[in-house]
Parts: sequence; C-alpha cells; structure tokens
Amino acid sequence: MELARDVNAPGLARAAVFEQLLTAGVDGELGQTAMLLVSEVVSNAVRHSQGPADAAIAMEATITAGGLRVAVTDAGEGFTPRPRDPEQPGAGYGLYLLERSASSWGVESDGGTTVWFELDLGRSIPSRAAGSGRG
Amino acid sequence: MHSVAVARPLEIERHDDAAGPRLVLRGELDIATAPRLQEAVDAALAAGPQMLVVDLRELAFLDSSGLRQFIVLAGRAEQEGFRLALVRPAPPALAVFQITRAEENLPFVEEPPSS
Repeated sequence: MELARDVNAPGLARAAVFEQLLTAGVDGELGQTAMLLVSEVVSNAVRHSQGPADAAIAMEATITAGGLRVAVTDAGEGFTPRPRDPEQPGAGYGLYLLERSASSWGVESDGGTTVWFELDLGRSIPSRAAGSGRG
Repeated sequence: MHSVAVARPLEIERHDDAAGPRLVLRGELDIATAPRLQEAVDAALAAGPQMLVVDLRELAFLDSSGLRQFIVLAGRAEQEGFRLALVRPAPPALAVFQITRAEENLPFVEEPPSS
C-alpha cells in the first residue's frame, strides 16, 4: 500500500497490517509486537527520509506460514543504522526495538531506502525473565 | 469480524486532584498524537505542581515516540523537582517499555496515588 509521508502514516499502516493479521488468525503478543515494529519502521521513513516531501511511502506486508514480513520503502537516500545513543535520551529506540523483537531485519538502498523485518509466527514479546532481568 | 479500520486518536482527560494534575490517556500514542500529549503535559506543569500523574491504563498503543516522551518527562521531574507517577499500562502499550527495559527506570505505579 502507498502512504502519504506524514504523521498519520504509522497509524494507517498499523491498521492495515492489523487487518491482515486478523484475517490470518494472528493476534495476541505476536500481533502486538507486529504493531509496534510496523509503527517504528513507518515512523522512521516519515522522519528520516531525505526524499521529496510529496514522495509516498510504500509498505508491503506479507504473511506466510513462516511469519510476517514487512518492507517499507521511501524515496530517501538511506541512512546508516546506528545503535542507541546514550547521550540522547530516548533517541534511536526504533532500531533497537527491531533488533530486540524482529526475527531478522535489514536496510537496503537501491534508489529508495527499504527497511524490512520478519517476525516468526509463534514468536512473542521477549519477557523480562529472559536474560538477566529482575528475578 | 469486528476490527479497527482506522487509527484511533488519542484522548487526553485532565483531572485536577488535590495533589496535582492527573492526565488519563486513551487511544494511541505515536508521532501523530505525541505533540498533543506534550501540550497537555506542558499545560499541566505550568502552575508548578508537586506531582503529575499520567494514567496509561487505557492506552491501546504506544511506540518509541511515546516512550521518548516519558523518558524526557522523567528527567524533567528530576530537574524541576516534582513527583512523576505513571500508572502502568496494559500489555499492548506496556510492550515498548518492557522490550527496551525502560520499565525498570521509569516511576510506574499500579494505581493513581490517592490524593
């Protein structure tokens, strides 16, 4: 689907993917994680694209037996993913969330910039119990 | 099948309790609605209250743009010397706090503090 590059794009993208997931019978934690990641990737395209302001954002969401794959393309020239900057409170959490929650993700530049992620079916939000969280 | 066809806007309800303002958020917090929360927070803090409560229990969705606001607000509470209490959201909106582990560093409470 095509989305105008404005602040409403993430909400419209979430609603569209939500519909697709419902149709595929996916909800619960996987659905929540998917909504979050769709929102981050589309927000990223809205905020950081260096393309013309009137260039649309293209989102492709496909659900297969293996999981959900979402690719968001804008007309920008791409960016170098950087880790979270501790000097800037709250900056860079979008990519951090992809890193933590997506099964895989990446950035491709070929004219436009595509940020994609995949989420396995059955995979859910990592709980705090994982790793060295509070006991 | 009933489903959400359009993005739900953010509703902000303000209550002026004896202890200070309390903002109740409903709907979705993202880059479209974050500026409205910022305005409501600025207005609530204009009179220099001792406490600000933000109730997230009825928030249906929140992404890192909302997370960023609460991290900045917690820093502001420390600098300006007011008490901030965030009433812990339900799972869909809690996810972003958990995945980033920001949950451990933000002043969450289970219920709005009694005034």
